[in-house]
Order: sequence, then C-alpha cells, then structure tokens
Amino acid sequence: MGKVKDVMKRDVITVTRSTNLRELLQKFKDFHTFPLVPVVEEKKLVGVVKLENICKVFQPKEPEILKTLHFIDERPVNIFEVDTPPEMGYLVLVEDIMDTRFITVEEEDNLNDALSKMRLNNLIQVPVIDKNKNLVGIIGVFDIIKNLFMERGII
Amino acid sequence: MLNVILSLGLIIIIGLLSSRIFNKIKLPSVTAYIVCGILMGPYILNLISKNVLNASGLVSNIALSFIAFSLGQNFTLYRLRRIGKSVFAISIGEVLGAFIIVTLSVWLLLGKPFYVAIVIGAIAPATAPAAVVMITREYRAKGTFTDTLLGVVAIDDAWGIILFAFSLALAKTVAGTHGGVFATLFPDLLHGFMEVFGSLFLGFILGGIFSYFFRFLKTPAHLLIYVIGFILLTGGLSIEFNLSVLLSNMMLGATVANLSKTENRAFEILKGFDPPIYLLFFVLAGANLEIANLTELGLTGIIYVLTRLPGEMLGAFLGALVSKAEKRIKKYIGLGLAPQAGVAIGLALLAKAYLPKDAGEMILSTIIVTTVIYELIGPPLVRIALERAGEIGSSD
Repeated sequence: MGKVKDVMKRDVITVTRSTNLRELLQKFKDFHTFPLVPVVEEKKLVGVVKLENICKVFQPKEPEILKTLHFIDERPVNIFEVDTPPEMGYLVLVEDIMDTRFITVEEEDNLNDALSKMRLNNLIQVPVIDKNKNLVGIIGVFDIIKNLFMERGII
Repeated sequence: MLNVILSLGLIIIIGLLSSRIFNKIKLPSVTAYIVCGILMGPYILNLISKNVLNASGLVSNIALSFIAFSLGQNFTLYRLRRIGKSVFAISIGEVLGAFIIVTLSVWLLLGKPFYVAIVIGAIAPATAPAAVVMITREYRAKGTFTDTLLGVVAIDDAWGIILFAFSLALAKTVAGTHGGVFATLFPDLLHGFMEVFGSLFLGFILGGIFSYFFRFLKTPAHLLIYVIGFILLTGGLSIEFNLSVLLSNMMLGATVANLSKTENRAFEILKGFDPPIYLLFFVLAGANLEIANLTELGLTGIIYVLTRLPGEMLGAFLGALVSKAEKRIKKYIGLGLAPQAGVAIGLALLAKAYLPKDAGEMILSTIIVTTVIYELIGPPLVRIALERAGEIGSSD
C-alpha cells in the first residue's frame, strides 16, 4: 500500500491570510471549479479556503447561532440580491473567510486511511502536512484513483 | 380516523407547504408548523391519528435531544474567544436584564407561581437574529453600531438558551410543590442544582466516550448512526435518572465540539436527517394546543410585552457601560434587540413539554401571541435604532 507522500501533488497554489478576495479569485478564475486552497504562514498551514467560504462573502456576519438552529429561521440568501460593491475585492481578506479548523492528512499516512478520512468527511481534496504541521502537498480522491489505475497498467 | 403512517405523511408534506407559504410573507417556519398543527389537530380538521398525538411526549423528547445536541456545538472555547468585549458584555447584560425584570414582574406584580415566572423570564431574552440581519441588509446599515448589534443577536440566544435550560430544571423541581415558596425554596434549589450538574456530568462523560471511539468510524453512514445512537443514549439515560434531556445533550454536543481538533462532521451530517423530526415536533405542539386559550392575550402577555423590551434595554445599557462602548451604542442597542420569533416559541414548547399541563399551556399560548406582537413591532424598532445611531443611508 502506497503512502500519501508518494501520490500527493507537491506543487500547491497557496495564499496567505492577507491575500484579498480579488487576488484570490483572479488566481483561480480559469479553473474548472474552485479548488481547496491552503492558507500558509511561513510554510505552516493555518487555514483553508473552500468554495463555501467564498459564499460567505454574500452573508457577512451571518449569526453563528443560525447555523445550528437551521430549522428555526431558515431564510436562504438570494445571492443575486446581495449588494457587493467593487471595493469588497480589496477589503475582504482570506483571513476573514477561511476555515481555521479543517481536516488534514500526514505525508506518512497510508492511502487507504487518507481515502477513508476523505470519505467520512465528504471531501474530495485535503491538504497534506508533515510532522511540524508544515504544508507539504495536497491530495485528492482522483490522485489516489489515478495512482491505482497506473499501478494496474490501465493508464 | 387516519392510520399512523398516513398521518405522518400528511403532517410532513402539509408542514413543508405551509412553511413555504409563511416564508413568502416573512414569518418563520416554526410559526407555520404550529399553525399547521392547530389546523390539522383534533379541534379543527382532525387529520392526525390519536396514536400519533399520544406519542407527542416521545417525539418532544427525541426532537429536544437533537436540538440540544446541535446547540451544544456553539459553546466551544474556539468560538467564545472570537467574541468582542463589548458584544460579550452587552449580550450578557441584555439576557440578564430581560430575565430579571420579566421574572420579577410576572412573579411579584401578577402573583404567578415562581416556577412559571422564571420560565417566562428565561424566554424573554430570546431575539430573532434573522429579522435583525434582514433589516440591516434592507437599509444597508454600516458601522460599529451595526457590527455590535449583529454580534449581540448572534450570541445572546446562546446565553439565553443556557439560562433557559437552568431555569427549566429549577422550575421542574419547584413545580411539584405548592404553598409557601420560601419554605421549600432551599431544598428545591439544591435539587435543581443536582439535576443541572448531574446532566452536565452525564453529557460530559458520554461526550468523552463519543470522541474516543470516533476514530473507528469509516463511512458517513457509520457516523450518522453513531451520532443518533449517542443522542438517544444520552436522552434516554437522562430520563432514566430524572435529569434534564436538554442540558445533558447540550453538554454532549459541547464536549464533542471542544474535544475535536478539526471541524466535526457529526453536526453537519445531522442536517440531512433531523429536519422532519423538528417539523413533526412543532406540528404536534400546535395540534396539542387548546385553541380556546389562544384568542386572548391575557394579563401575563401584556406584562411580558411591556417589561421585556425595557429589561433588554436596561441590561444592554449596563453591559455597554461596563465595556465602555460608544454613547450611541449604549443608548440605542437595546432597541435593536426587540424582534422575537422562532427561538422564543421553541423555548416555550420545551416549557410545555416539561411543566405541568396548565402552566406549560399558559406559557406557550402567551408566547405565541406575544411573539406575533414583537414580530410586528420589532423590525420597525430596529430600523429606528439604526437611524438614531446614524448608520442608515449615511454612506451612499
């Protein structure tokens, strides 16, 4: 069984806490979909930005309690009606929208564990860290499947 | 008489339909479910099987267990650390202010039993975050006042719910005794505290076990089964030992959230499972209401409406004073906390589930009527507060 470090991508596009929304979106505007973006501070992984974090921009300061009382006051935001002035591109920083509690795998983990962790948490990509919590790569379900197919000579 | 499964199917589909209609006219889904329950209930359309109605107690306990568990995740050190100083002080002030003033008024002015007064008092601080957020958006309010107000409405319901859980535990023990309050107050208090600490302890232990074995789960299906199992286990043990289902499950949720270093899917995964349980709970609550009680506001309702807002304003003012907030925040923040909606009704339903029938019924029907009043007068008051604070239409 291979290890995460054998399969992961080492070349990761990262941002920092102070990257603004405009720079963040520019970076990924030609991607097919918004990927998992690690936030680093001197190599250390301090957060991640996912598509759902970008959506937070449309509901600034949504009361936290609402998240857990979803059955009581559920009023979905119509993003077409939310006012998003151009200066938001500069004012909203990665720090404001990133998740600081997130799932990671370690480079020494075996692939099976990494895959079941992703499956349990309903993720298709996770950042890979080393013993010192430094970001060393990123791995996705597709990387693992691709590797399996390569081993079996299908590709 | 319809069979049980047909009743359940109708409740769920009609409940969904009515919540969509109510949302169109900007009323919360909870109100829709309750109205739907009243209409489908035995007094009007009689579409709910007796067997389902008789199971209301069971449904309440299960629904409350899920609600409490989900609420527990808010009480993490991680989240509490992110609350600003003035938001913290104002929210605590507002909750205590409304609680103390309403409790004392209902108890001393109206001469209602103490246990009824503390439960009504503990419902008073609940606000309607969604309504406040909507007003700030509608009028494009911006500034420190707006930020503080949004911060306060986001957190005050968390404090309010803790306070309510404690009050309800105390009320339940006091409710059994009649006559002189002071003669039995001390042993009752002691008993109430035992229940509170026992519940917290149970939730903490089960939360620890939950977190320890969590690593063996492999698929989302395992996780869902595991979470539901622990919630029911905690609820069931609480009933067995005469503890509070609400507090023990809240503690279970808080422990699980605090012990996990990463995000925890345990809460997320429930969202795909629990909405129909809540719907059933609210509809049955409506179906069990004596509709005759609903037509009048009553003296308790009038006192509640008249004292809640001043209590909130006074408490918020003191909180702002302590945290040295700006003058306009001190003056107007309380006014912005006027709206009350789903959370209050949810709490009143808990009261109804656990207190003696008459008292519970009286509290619920009072809160339903007062909520409609605060839902009508609340939003304009928020607008006035934002205007006075100078945060509407100043920027563009």
